[in-house]
Amino acid sequence: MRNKFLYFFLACSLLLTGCWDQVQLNQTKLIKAGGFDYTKKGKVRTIAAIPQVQPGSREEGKEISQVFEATGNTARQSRHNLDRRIAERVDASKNLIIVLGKEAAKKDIYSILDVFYRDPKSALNAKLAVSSKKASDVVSMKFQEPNIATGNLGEYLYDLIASAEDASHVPEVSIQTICPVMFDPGQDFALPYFEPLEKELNVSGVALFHNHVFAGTIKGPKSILFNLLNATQSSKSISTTRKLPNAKGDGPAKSVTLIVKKAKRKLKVSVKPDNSVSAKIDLNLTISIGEFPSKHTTDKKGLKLVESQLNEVLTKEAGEIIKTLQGFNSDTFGIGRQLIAFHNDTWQAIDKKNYFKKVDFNTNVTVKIMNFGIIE
Amino acid sequence: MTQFKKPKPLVSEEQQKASSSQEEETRRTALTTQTSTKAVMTLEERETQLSSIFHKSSDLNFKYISFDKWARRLLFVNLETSSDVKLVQEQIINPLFELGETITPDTFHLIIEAETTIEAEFNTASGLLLDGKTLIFIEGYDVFYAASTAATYKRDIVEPTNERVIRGAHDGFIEDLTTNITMLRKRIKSPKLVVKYFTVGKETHSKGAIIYMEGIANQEIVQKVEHRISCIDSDSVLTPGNIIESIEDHPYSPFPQIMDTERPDRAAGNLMEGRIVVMSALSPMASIMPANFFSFYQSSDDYNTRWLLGSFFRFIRIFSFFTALGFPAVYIAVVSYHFEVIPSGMVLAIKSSLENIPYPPLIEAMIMELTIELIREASIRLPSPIGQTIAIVGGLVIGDAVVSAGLVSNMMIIVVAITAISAYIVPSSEMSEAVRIIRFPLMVLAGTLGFIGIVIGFMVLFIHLTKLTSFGTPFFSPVAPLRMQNLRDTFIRLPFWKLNQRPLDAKPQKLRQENRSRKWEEEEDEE
Repeated sequence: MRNKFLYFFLACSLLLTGCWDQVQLNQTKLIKAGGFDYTKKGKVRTIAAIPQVQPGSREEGKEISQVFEATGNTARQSRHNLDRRIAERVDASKNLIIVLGKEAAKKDIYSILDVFYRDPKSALNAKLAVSSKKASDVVSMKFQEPNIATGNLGEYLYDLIASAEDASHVPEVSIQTICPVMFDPGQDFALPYFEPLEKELNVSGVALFHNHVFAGTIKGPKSILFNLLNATQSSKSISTTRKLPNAKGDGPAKSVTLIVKKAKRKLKVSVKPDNSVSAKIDLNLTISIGEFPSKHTTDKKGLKLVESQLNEVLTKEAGEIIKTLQGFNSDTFGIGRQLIAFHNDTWQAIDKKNYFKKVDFNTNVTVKIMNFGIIE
Repeated sequence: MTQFKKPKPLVSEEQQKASSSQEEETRRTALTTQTSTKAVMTLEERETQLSSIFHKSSDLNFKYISFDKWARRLLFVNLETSSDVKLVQEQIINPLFELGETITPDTFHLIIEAETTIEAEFNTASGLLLDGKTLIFIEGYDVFYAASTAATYKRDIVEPTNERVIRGAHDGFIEDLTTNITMLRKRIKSPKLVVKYFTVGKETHSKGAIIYMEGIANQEIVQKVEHRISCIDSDSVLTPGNIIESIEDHPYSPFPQIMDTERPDRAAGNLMEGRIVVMSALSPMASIMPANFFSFYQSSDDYNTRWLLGSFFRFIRIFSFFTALGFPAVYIAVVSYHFEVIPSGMVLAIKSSLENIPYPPLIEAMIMELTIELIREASIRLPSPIGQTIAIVGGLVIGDAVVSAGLVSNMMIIVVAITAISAYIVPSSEMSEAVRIIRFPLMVLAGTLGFIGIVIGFMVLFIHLTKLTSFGTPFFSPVAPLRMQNLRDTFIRLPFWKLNQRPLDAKPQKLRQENRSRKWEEEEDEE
C-alpha cells in the first residue's frame, strides 16, 4: 500500500516538470528566409523575412512578410540581437532559404554556416544561394508578382530555386549537402546565383566556390551544360537552345532547341609518372529536337549534320566552361577526390591548393538525336 | 416459456366416482403419513405465514374457493405482478369449475391445464411464488400444488443498435434467456453445445447461463468461469455488468477483458472458436470470455464481405485504434514542442489558426474533447427527436461558434472530429470507451513531455496490454506471444479456407477448424 502511494506521487512528479521546454507554435516567429551580409566594420548582419499572419482572419493569403535586420560579431550573436527586436521567440527550424551576399560569400562562408551545423533544430534542408548584390537586397525586395509582395517570401525564393533546379540551371544543393564537400580538399561546390533586377529576381546561373570562398560565376545557358558535365542535372526537363554556326537562314532559323532525354557522363582521371594529371570527360546526350525553325529536320542526312554541328558547338562550350572553372580554381568535378582515392601518391606529391589549374582536360560531347517532333 | 397443456382426463363420470372415494382415501393416508408427526397447517395459518414472508406486500394475492360438491376449501396464492392473471383464470379456475362435480385432490393436477407440480416443502413456497407460479393449498393437506402461470413478456427481435452491420444477420439478443439460447442453438445445431444455468444474487436470484462447446472449449477455463461465478456473493446481481466485474482478471485495467455482444452470430462464432458465453436472464448482452484484444476489432461484416475488403476494413479499424488514442496527443506535442516536423506548406496555415488562442494547446484540446464527450453523453440520454437537435447544436453551432469566437482553433476542431470518428469505428462499445479514456492521460503526457511523453505513454500501454490476461490466457495474443498462424485473422482477414486453425489464445481442445474446403479445385484440375 505504501509502495502504491510512492509510485503515485512519483508519477505525479512527472506532471510537475511542467512546460519549461515548451516551444509553442503560436508564440514563435518563424523565419522563412534568411540572409547574411557583412557590414563595413566586419560584423555579420542577419536579415530575416518573417511572415506574419493577420490575426482573426479566416481566409488564407493574409500573410505579410516582415523583414528584420540585426548585426553582431557572429551569425548567432546577430540572431540573438534580432530576437531582441522581435516580439515572441524567433525560430529558424522552418527556414527555407539562406541568401549570402556577394561580399559575404567572398569571405569564409563556413563561419556563417557553422551555427546551422550545431543547432539540432536548424533546417538543414534549406536552400543556399548567392546574391549578386547584398543579401538584404534579395530578402527585403518588393516583387512584381502580386501575392509575393505581401506574402511568404521564403516560399517564393524556394520555389524560384526549385524550378531552376528542375530545369538544371542550378545544382540541387542544401545546407546539408554542401557540408561534406566544403571540408573536402579534393572537391568544391556550386550554389545558385541570384541577380536582383528592378522588381524581380533572376536565377542567372551558378556561383562557383573554391574551398569556402566564392570565386566566380557561370551564367546563362552555359550553366545547363555545366550541370550536365558535373552530372548534377535533374531528370525532369532539360532544355536549352544553341546557335548552329553553319545553319542557313537568319535570325531564329539558325538556332536549335534541344531537349535532353538522357545524359551520360564518363569521367576518367589518369596520372602520368611525372605526377601530371589528366582527365577525360565524355558526355553522351540523347536528345530530342524541341525547336528548329530551319526546314531540313526529317531526312537522316540533315539530322546527322545537325548532330555533328551540335557536337562541335557543345564540345567547344564545354572547353570554355572548364577553362572558367580552372580560372576560378573550383574543382566541382571532384578530381582531387579521385586522386585521393585512387592515386594517393600523386595527391601527396602535388600542390593541394592549385592542383586543379594544372589538370589537363580532354572534353568531348556527343549528341544523338532520338526524336524530332510529333510529325514525320 | 412454453406451456404444455395436460390432456383432460378421459375417464367417464361413473368410473371416476367409483374410484374416487378409494383413491382419495389412499392418497390422503399416503400424504398425511409423511407429516403425521406435526399438525397440518390451516389455510389461514399459511396465509399469515406467507404474507409475513413477503412483508405484507400488496401484490400477494390470496383467494379462497370452495366448491359446492366438495367440502374442502382451496387457497390460491400468487404474486399478481409475477403471474399472468388471465392464465390463472383460463387454465386453473375455469377447468375446475367446469368439472366441479367430480373434483378430487388427486385428479387435481390432471384437470388444471397449466403445468403443475406437487410440492411438499412449505419453505420452497416463497421461491415458487417469485417464479410466478400459482400455489394451490387444499384444506387438510400438507402437500400443495404449484402451477406455472408465470407472466412472460418479450420484445421483438431487432437488430442491436450499437452493433449494426451492412451484410449478414440482422437479429439481436433480447431480454429473454430462453429465446437467446434458442437463437444460439439454431446457429449451432450440435449436441456438443452445453448450456448450464446458474443463479446469482442472494436477494435478486438472477438466473443466467454458461454456454460453451464441449470438446472445443478448454475445460479448465470452463471450470474457472463456473467457479468464479459461484464465488459471487452479493445481494443483488441485476446486470451482466455485475457478473463481469466480479469475474474478470484485472478489474483495474481500462481494457475490457470480457467481450460483450448483442449479436447472436458473433456469439456463435466465438463459441465455435472455443470461447465461453455467459448470458443473464434479463439482458440482451452475451459476455464472451476469454477475449483477446483483436477480437474486439472483429465484426461479422468482415466475414460477409470478400476477404480483400474484409482485410481492408480490419486494417482501417486497427488504424483507428491509433488515431483515436494518439492523434490529439501527437497534435498537442507537435504544436507545443516539435513544430519543425510540420511540412513547410502547412506550418503557416496551422500557425494562423492558432495565433489568437488564449491558452496552451493541452487545455484547448481538453476543452474540445470534453465538449465532444458532453455532446455524446447528451445525445444518448435525450429522446431521439431532441437528439437530432442536440447533434446540430453541438456539432455545428458549438463547433462553428467556438472557432469564430477565437476560443478554439480550426485545427483543433479537425483533430477532435477525426478522433471522435475514429473512436466509434471500433465494433465493440466497451473497447471504444476504453480508448476514449486512455486518450486523456496521453494528451497530458504529450502536453508536458512532447513526443517523449507519447513514447512513454505508448510504452506503458503496450507493456500493460502484453501483461494483461483474460481467464489466464494472454490478452494481446497473437501479437504477444507472437503466433504467426493466428495473425491470419488479426490485422488482416485471410479467406475462410485459409483459416485452418482456431485462435490459440482460448486454448481450444480441438485446434483444427477447417480442412481444405477448396479441394474441389484439385479434383477439377484432374478432369
